[in-house]
Amino acid sequence: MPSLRLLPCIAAGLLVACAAHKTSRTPAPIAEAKPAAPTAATPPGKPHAEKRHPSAAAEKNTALPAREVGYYLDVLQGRLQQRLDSGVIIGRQHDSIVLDFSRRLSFMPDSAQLDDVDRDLLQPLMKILEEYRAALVSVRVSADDDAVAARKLAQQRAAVIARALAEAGVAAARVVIVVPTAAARDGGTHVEIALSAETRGD
Amino acid sequence: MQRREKILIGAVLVGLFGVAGLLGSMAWLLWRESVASEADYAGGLAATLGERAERTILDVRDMLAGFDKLAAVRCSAAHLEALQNASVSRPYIRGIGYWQAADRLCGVGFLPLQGLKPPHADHIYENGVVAWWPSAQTEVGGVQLFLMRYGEHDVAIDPRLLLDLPPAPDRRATLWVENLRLSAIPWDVQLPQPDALPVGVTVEREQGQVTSHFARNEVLPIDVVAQEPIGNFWSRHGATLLVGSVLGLLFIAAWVDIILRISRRELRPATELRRALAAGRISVQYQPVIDLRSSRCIGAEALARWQRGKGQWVSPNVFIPVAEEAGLIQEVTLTVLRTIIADLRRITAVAGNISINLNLSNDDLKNERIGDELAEHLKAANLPPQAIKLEITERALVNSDTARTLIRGFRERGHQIAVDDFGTGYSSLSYLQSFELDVLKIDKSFVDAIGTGAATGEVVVHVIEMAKSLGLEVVAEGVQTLEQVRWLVDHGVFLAQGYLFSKPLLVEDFIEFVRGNNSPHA
Repeated sequence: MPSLRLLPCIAAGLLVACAAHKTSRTPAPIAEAKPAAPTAATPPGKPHAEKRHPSAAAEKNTALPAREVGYYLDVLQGRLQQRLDSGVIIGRQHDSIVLDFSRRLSFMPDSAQLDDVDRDLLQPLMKILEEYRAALVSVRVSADDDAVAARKLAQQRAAVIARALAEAGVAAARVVIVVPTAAARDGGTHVEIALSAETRGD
Repeated sequence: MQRREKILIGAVLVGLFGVAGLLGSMAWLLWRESVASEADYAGGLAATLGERAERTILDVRDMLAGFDKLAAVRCSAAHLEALQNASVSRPYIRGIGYWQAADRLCGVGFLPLQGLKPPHADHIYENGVVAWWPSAQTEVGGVQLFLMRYGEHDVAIDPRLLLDLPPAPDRRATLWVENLRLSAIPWDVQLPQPDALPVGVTVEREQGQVTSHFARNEVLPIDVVAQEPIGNFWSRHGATLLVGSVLGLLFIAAWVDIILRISRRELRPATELRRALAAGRISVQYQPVIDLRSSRCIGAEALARWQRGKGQWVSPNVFIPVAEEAGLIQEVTLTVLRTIIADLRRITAVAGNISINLNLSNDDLKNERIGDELAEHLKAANLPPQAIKLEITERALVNSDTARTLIRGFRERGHQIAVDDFGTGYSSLSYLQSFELDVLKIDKSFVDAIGTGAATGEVVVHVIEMAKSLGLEVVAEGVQTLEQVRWLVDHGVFLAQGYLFSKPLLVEDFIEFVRGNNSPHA
């Protein structure tokens, strides 16, 4: 009876807190699962729809109070601006920061390998994520078309990036991978990393 | 309207307009000058403030960048000392914090231990500087602080110390960076936003205030908006305004003086006469000369008349001396001469052989101009020289040999010479004798004395005698009574002119007079 459970939340008008509350209650499904696993593949026909992050809060109690999210993302963005290669386009939505690596990080055709240059490019991000532990990471690599093979390749590529982050010490539970449909991209292989803050409802 | 009135009204109008114009332009100049120097003053002030604000922000950024490079272990005594030192040397710094993500781990200054975490940054710069403008979220101890975070550290700045203007009564100002209000004096003052104001100085006299807006856009867009009572403006520019006003008054005095001089010159009779001559307002009237034996009109004396306005005539007694003094008399004589020549044709058509007397002045007897023109005109009009008699005054005879020569010349050409106003000068009989003359005109003052038993009555008898002995014809002037006529005839004077016969007449009337007077049946 989910509707019944939601009622008091709606009545309180604390939708955000409610959502956060719900998130924090949800047990991390595969918190310690292999990071490469396609934990959040987008269902075809629903571009950009993303599954909710598995909670990383349990890990070290890094989740933020909701009132601090704005500050957290602002200073995280400042830090990214300061450290990241200038070829990485840093965009800001209300509750997330989107890092567009497409111009710098490009896979060889039919390859899902990162070379040393790519790893160097990711290095500062990994370092920042060490400090900003409440940041949830979603790695989005677009498929060249909607063919099964292409989607699979994209997923592999995203997984490679996610693994690299994990190897650098980013808790696997904070990372999800997403493969948007070909329709959602506008040419070239899109490689994006979106950062949001994990909140707790207090 | 008379010329005099026109000139007076014109002078007053020109004077008034000139004064108004001068006042207006002086006021405008002064105003512009004051506003320009106010703009310089306010602009300089704003530039200083803008520069300082900018320098402070850049300095703080460099300071924060420097902290990241410190070797000291974070939150150790050495680390905190470095922060403390940086803070002490910058009075506007309220506190410096060391952060990891959203956790303030340690710091110096007067801030809450957990630091300030406003929910929304106003600016996140490309280089990674995050800035929060003063707001309720950055308020500590009643002061809204300006926050900057860069790298591991943040700094809280008291913005009031970024806007220290020189003291002036009631001066209010706001400092805007990135179009956001950073500071203000007093803190809660409400001034217009910079984008709603023109750049420069705006004087609002109705509100009694001066608003200045200066913008600087070098590293950061910075605006300073200041407002102060208009009294401050006046007190700063009082000296300029005073000097300007004095200069203005001097200009006005000079202007009024020029106008007075011009109008005085314009109103001088000589100027008026010159204009009258040019405009053809000098006309001629004919005073008939009557032969007392036959009552026929045998000629006339041409008299110059100056019509100043409608029906307003200036007496020759007034304007002839003016013309003589201004050197215009020859022009007057020539004007009369030309008029006579033009009229003579019509006159002779009615009156047959008639002669018109033309008055010559002393100046006319100094050169040959009159003689030349006279000959030329007579020839052109095909008139005999006898048609024009020349009247000279007794005083003219006193002068030079030139006069003598010219008079002889006139006679040789066939003109008769009459001596006008005889008896009023000082010429003796023997002197008169040395000139070749034809007619002697007895002045009106002698004629008036006839029959009154006055001493002059005796004199006139002698004058008549003298004239007869010189073989001159005698004409009595100013005859007004029949008694005078009788007396004159008794004494052998047969020619006369005067109001008894006719007043001076315009040419049409003169022709009518001759026609009536000389007709055989009269």
